[in-house]
Amino acid sequence: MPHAIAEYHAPSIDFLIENGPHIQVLVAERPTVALLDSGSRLSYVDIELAEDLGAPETGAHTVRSATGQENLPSFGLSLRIPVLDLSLGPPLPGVPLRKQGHFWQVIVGRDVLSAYLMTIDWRTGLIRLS
Amino acid sequence: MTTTQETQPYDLAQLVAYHEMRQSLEDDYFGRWVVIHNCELAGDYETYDEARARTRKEGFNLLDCLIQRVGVEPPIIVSYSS
Repeated sequence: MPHAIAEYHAPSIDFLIENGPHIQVLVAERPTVALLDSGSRLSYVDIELAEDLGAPETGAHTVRSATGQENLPSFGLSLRIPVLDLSLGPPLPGVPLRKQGHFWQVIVGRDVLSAYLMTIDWRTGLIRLS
Repeated sequence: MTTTQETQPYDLAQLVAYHEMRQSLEDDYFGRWVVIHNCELAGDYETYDEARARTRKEGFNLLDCLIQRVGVEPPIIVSYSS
């Protein structure tokens, strides 16, 4: 069994099943939570959250989704994941999450997850990265 | 060494509060945009922009509150790639 780097529980099993696995992160050194999303190639921050935090736009990136392709802003923000002792950015690419009705406003994608073995015990709510 | 997450960030608490209120919100506010602040319903609005305007007026940023559309799934399952 690989050595666990981070191990914690979802708020509840029902929460985990309904909303997915989370991880605590810092955006611009402000604590928040992100979805651990193996369906997302990169990690992203909600555009309006970045704007609220006063982050400058530093460029653009192209996003492809089920509805097509669009250019969206990247921000001069960093994302830190304390339990993994890991930082991403700046820049950090932005996507519209909350305005589209998504539950989470930060996504941690495969750019991070590919370095770990992520296991989720859906019976107990235990999330483990090793 | 294994690291655990001991302290719950404020906005995880808002997400948990919304999750726990979800059924009653769907009964009373289906399709509306709600603002959750201090783990309580702080208002309901017709549009996201109205909810955002209200939170800005109150001086909240998006780490201080949660804005969600009740009972309506996002239009697509997003699979972003650059």
